[in-house]
Amino acid sequence: MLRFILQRLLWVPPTLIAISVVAFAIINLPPGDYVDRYALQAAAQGDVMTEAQKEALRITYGLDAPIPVQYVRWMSDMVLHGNFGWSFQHSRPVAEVIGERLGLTAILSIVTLTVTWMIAIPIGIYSAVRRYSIADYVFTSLGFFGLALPNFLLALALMYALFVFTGQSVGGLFSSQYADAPWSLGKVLDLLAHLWIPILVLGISGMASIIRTIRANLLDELRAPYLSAARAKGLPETWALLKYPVRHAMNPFVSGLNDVFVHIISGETIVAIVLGLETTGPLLFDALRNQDMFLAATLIMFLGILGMIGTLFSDVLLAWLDPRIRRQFTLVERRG
Amino acid sequence: MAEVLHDTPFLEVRDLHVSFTEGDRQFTALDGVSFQVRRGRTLCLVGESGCGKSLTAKAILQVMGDNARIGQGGIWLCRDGREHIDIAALDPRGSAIRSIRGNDIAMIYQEPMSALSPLYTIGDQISEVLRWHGNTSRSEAREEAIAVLRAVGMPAPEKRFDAYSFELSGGQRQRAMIAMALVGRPQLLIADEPTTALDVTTQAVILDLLRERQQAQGMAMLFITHDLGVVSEVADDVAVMYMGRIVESGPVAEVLSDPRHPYTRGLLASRPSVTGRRRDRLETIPGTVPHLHNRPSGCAFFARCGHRRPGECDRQAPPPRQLAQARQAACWALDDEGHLQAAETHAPAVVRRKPDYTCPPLLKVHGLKKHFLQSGGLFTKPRRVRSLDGVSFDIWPGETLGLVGESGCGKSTLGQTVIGLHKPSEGKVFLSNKGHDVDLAALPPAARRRHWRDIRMVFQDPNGSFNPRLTVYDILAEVLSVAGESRPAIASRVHEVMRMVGLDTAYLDRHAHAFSGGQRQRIGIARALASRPRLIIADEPVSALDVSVQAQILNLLRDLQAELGLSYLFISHDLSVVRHISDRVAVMYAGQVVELAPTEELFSAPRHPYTRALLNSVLEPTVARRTERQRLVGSVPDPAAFPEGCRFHPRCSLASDECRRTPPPLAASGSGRDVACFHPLHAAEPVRLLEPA
Repeated sequence: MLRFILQRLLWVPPTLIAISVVAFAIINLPPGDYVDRYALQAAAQGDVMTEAQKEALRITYGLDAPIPVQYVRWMSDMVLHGNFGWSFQHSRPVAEVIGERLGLTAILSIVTLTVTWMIAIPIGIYSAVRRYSIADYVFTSLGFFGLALPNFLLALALMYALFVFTGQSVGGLFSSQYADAPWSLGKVLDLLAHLWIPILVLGISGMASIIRTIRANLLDELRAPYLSAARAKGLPETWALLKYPVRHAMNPFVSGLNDVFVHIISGETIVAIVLGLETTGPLLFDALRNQDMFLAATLIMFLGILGMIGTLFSDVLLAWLDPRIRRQFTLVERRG
Repeated sequence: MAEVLHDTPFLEVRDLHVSFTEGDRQFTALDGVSFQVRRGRTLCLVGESGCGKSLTAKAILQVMGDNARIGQGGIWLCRDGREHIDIAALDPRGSAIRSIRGNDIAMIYQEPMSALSPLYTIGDQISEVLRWHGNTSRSEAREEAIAVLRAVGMPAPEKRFDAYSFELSGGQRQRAMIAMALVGRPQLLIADEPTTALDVTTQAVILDLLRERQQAQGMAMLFITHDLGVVSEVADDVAVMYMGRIVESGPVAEVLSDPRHPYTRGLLASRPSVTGRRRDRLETIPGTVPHLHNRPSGCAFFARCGHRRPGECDRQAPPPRQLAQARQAACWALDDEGHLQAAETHAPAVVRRKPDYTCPPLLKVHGLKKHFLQSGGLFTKPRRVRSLDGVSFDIWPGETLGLVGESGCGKSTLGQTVIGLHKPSEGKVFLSNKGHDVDLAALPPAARRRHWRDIRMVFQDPNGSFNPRLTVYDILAEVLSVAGESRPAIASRVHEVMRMVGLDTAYLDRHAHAFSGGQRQRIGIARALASRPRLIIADEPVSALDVSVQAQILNLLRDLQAELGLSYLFISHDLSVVRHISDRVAVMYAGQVVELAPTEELFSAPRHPYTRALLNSVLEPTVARRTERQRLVGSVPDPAAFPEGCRFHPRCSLASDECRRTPPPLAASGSGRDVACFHPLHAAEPVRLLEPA
């Protein structure tokens, strides 16, 4: 097992380098660079920049060098000094820009996932065990509704309804008086008061698909002879259900968890934009649009790392859940 | 019941009715089942699939599933000889039934692989029975589970306690399943086809084990099987089921030697035998068990019965009639003495064509090898799995060569390699073609294609080998259109083969799933026939079928051979079927042929110890003989690590030092037989299996 994890970790650096090269190349594919875009915006406001000014800016930002050189500089700075580069758009180091949003994004995503699972998994189990009951039909209908409805539309509708009925503006994660205030009990409460809307919006669609997956998996498992055998041994019904078919049904669910960490950072960008959430999703979107090169590349690198961690996480979880997979690992170790 | 019983039965099922609900409709599955199971005795429930045997077992434990419901009737349990409980009246989720399950009554399931969860160790699944019934501590439960594992003959039980089901062999898994049932010290053990998924050799060992545990614990046993050979081995009493009713019951010796119900007779007659006279044709029960949705009124067996009396039998279901003490049959055709009145038996004799051994063989296989490389992990050397390791044999025109052996011996690989599904690692496959021998193994794929139509295959599971989107017509026409035949030629050939296999051409536009198992196998045979092959490789073609349908298919294969002069390579684990259909038989062990002989000689006087061991394991429905036998212990060796010398020597009682050093060659041993053994048995030695006819 340990050896398997180590083997996987060995593959991380080459994969990361490949991701960074591809990310860097793609960002540089559109014609022009950040300075062109900046000049365009300036021109729109009637402030025309000369070629010399532009060139001077390029030299300041290091955009004058050929792209491979820029890449090597960026990478070596990152590896040697932990410096992720400069965000042109925000005029601050990339690390600072990401750092201030990362915490909130993680809180939002983790709370959303936890709530989603805590609600969806029991409902999925209930729906399968009491198939074709009234509650199953209700959950199934709600589930399809949640799947069919675009997230951002739900967000818009919710904001509109809240504004009309309570007169309260619900965008963002904080009220205006707390937005730039230092952390306090009031700020935490304010966050909680705002957090439920994105959780609801993001959770409903996530829940729907989890309920359907768990229900379908479990329905297959409920027919399995080991459940009948467990009942025939005299096990109480609930215990027999949870110990055998439910655990079997978690297998496909867990193996689908590999992108869960990617979602924590990138997930639901559109909803975040609509709700005005200060998370990393909109940040990446803006960075790509404005060719804020180092910010975008760093965020993409982050996504890559999280994707790899997520895959490892789901593999390890799967091995922990399923001895068949665990034994495969040990077999490889013993032979190798 | 009128007679006085000397002791109360442990379990008495009285007039049990169970129905299934599908949508708004209800279907009767059990239609008044009554029987008794006594302490220390075994009752066998026997019948074809779909007759309600397993459902009866599940009803006794109330684990039938949500859409099945007990209607009327009772399941009376006599606990400790005093307390009488009607299980049928208990809440299936209540604590009363839970205290009975696993404690008073335990059950062994058919497929240990799916009845044991792969996510928990077998020790966990065995000891949880104890932990839920009574307050046994974890360590006590472990001790006891290991003791039971030892009692059921599990090797290294302390180690196996922590093993998972997928790490055990088939026989060990079934032992674990038995241990799980026995650990609660039940008064009644229900065994639902416990040996059906096992090789004959393992089956014999497991049946011995069950009998031994039953005697040691004084349990009652309800044993469910479709195999009358198994019945004769384990039963004290038999109840024959057909469509949710018991049609005949009584002590095993009487039922098997003097069957009264036409269904019991049909089951016995349609079964080929390894000892009795070889018949050219098997008697059959026409048709198949109807689906529950189409339960006939009157006697459910009416449509398939040779003794039926229209106007009488199809009006009212016959009630069970007492023939003697503890002996009942439910049939209108019984006369006043309770004997079945004569009826026309229909087993028209066919002229059996003998293969012509003077002409050159149709197929010559020389030193055929197929090795697979099993890739390991990242840094692992791949293992060489020697599935076929030097096999040679000939098949003559019009001949059937039977191929037997335990699972994993390479017999299926042999069939697949001959037909070209695998590229042989070594060796030659000569097909006689217009007086020349063509080595199929050496041909490039394009040239090989020309010979496709000469060798065709029939599979065990016809359903799995049909594309569900194709109609029967498309299935049959496929090989012909690939060969580029014209549309009218294809159409006339498709109609022709449908008639040959006895199917109505009106069914041609249906899909395969609309047919019963036996009809599907007929379609499988028709597909093989379509291209006018000379050789058909049949891989377990009747193993998935009920015994009455099996007889129909075996007769069909026989008829087709006589009519068309086909040759068969008939692969099966069932020795009685192989004996029935084959002219010669090859016995395979660990990728090699160990004995090859004309059928009669092989079965009456096996030379190779392995052949004898296989024959020893076969169970026949004759009650006279229930003697001690030699059992074949151990299992087929790992094909990536065969033992030195003779591959059979670790399981052979005759093995000498020579056997441990040198592999014995397959050598002629007189009268057209080849044996690969340094110490062949001789005909003079009595083989315990065989009895004077």
